[in-house]
Amino acid sequence: MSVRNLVGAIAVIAVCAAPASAQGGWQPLGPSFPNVSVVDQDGKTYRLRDELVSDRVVVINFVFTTCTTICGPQTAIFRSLQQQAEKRGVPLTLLSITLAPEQDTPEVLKAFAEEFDAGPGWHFLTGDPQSVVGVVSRLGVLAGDDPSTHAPVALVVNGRTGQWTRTSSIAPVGELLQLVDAASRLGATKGGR
Amino acid sequence: MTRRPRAALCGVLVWAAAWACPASTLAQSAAAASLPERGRAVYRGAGPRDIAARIDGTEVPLTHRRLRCAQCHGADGRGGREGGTAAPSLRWEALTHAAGAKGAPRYDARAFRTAVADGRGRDGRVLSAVMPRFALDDSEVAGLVAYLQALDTETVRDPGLSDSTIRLGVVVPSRGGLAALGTAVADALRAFAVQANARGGIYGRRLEMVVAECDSTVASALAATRTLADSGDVFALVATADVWPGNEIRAIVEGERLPSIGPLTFVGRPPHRDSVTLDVLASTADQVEALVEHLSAAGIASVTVVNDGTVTYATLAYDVERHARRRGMVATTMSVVDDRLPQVIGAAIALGRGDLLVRVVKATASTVVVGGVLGLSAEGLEKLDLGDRSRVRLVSPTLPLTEDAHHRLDAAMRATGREVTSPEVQAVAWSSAELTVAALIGAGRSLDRDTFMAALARLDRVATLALPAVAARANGLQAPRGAVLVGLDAQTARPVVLSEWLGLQRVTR
Repeated sequence: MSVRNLVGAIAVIAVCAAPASAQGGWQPLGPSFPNVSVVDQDGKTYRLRDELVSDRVVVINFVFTTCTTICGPQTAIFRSLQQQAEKRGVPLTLLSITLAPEQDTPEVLKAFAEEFDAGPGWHFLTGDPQSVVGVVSRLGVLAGDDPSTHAPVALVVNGRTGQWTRTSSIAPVGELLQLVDAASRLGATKGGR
Repeated sequence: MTRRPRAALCGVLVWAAAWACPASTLAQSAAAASLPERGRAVYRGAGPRDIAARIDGTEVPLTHRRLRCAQCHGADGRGGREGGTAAPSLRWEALTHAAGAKGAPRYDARAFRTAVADGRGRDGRVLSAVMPRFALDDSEVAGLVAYLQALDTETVRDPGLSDSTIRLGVVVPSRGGLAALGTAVADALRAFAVQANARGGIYGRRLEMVVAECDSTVASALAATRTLADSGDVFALVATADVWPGNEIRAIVEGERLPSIGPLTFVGRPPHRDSVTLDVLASTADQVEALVEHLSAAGIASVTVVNDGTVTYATLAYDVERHARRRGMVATTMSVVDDRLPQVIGAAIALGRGDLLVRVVKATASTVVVGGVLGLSAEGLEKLDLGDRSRVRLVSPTLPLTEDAHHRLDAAMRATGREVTSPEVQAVAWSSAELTVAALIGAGRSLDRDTFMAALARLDRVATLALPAVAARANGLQAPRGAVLVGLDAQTARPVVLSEWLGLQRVTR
């Protein structure tokens, strides 16, 4: 019997594609970090890197609204992350990028955002399907075109210092918050919009 | 394709108005479900109450309807996987299996409750953050355990299924003002089942139609729907009556996660992406929105939206006005609650019953009077004193029946000793049954409601007797959004189709 089974039969076991420690896994963003046009749940168009990441601390996850498994929990975790960051006065921008841009129109994403009471500074992003799928694939979240095969990955980015790291999008909120704190300490940053 | 501009074209529309809408409370279930059945309801996100669910470390209020056990752990309880995340088997056999030499204790009912409610596994460790914590009461825990135990012996099937039959339900009025239409729907569905069974049924299972009769009131229809949902006797509903402005019938269907295909409804209800309902008829709101777009494209600059003062139509009128303004039109809304003639500027859209249409026609000399008239039967149209009928247009959620489709329906009905009495209504019911069968076949031999709903969501452009091609897959299930525009023959007052399908973009809320 493996150690994993000891965790408990009811536990959902998360396997993060490339986990990083809070302090050790920061990588340079590099020129390949996508800067395509994306549209948020309010129909506003942004350049992903120049306007949404910019010089902020940003956490990015990946969802699709017809997902029946982890997208609900990870979105609830994001909402909690946003609330706790607000309480602590930590400026934070959240980006939830759809894995199914053809079906997840801004209207659909808006309804999804409202279901989870998403606050200001949290953008649910869609756009031209080819561009959005390109983003997802370049960020190493999805291989192929089946959104249900996506890994539960979150990216924590400091736009000002140009560094990022990966973590599990379904990690306990406290762990995500620690990473946000760590990202903030990398340099003085602007807050969420 | 030849069209049959026949008087009955608007027959479907009669549903909306002919049914009086007294307020009603939900009939309470008298039937006591067995322990495993109650557990199955919880497992599938159904049942009588919302069970609070929480992701550990968060305060976002969710319920078991949003985070269903079956979503992650599978309808059969054998577990599942999405991307890098795995949900283990919840079969009782697996839960109580010895956990290796190092020996975490086996689950029993108490440990199971601790895991589900408090998020601690049998070894005391905290479970993954993605496993919700559910505020179950004692009977719900007992039901879940009984259900998971029953899964081991494969004895728990979804309602309405046996080795040899699939039972589908329909609620129809058989008394009161809608009796004729209710009977027409029941006849069509019974004839459909006969034809489907003559062709071998669904993987050897016979289709059976369970017809629950009610009178023409919302209270009676609600009671019939509740009884059918609680009976454990039907797998899904087809073409069931749900024509009231309130949301009560749909609330029963969604609460019990009882699949419902093609409810006969005309009130605007934006689909929910987690819905178990496949609407096949465009809502009233969608019909008039398509109409406004059509008018705008035709260069009409002004529109007056006249309604009968009821909350439903007044609200709808406001939405139409807003939509028209977005299209750059000058739009005015007017509620007419007495005998005064409305002051109409530009084209008029009348939202209400036939008498309102007559008043609107009299109130304007403009060349176009557009009647988004709901609840006007063909007979009523012919009798109405409309004066110059050429100025009247109607919208309809159904495409006209082709000659060929009418003959097919007629032949099938006659083969079972029945008649086509209300062609468009019967064709809609028939088409809904066709979609149901397409999904039953798509679900395969291991049929349950989850595999059925998944198959339904995969349907794409299924050809049916009378419906616009239904593409159900993008973001849940929903009707084709749009309408066709219908005029009236100047001599006979019979409806004449004037447009192709005026489609709108899909949207989900």
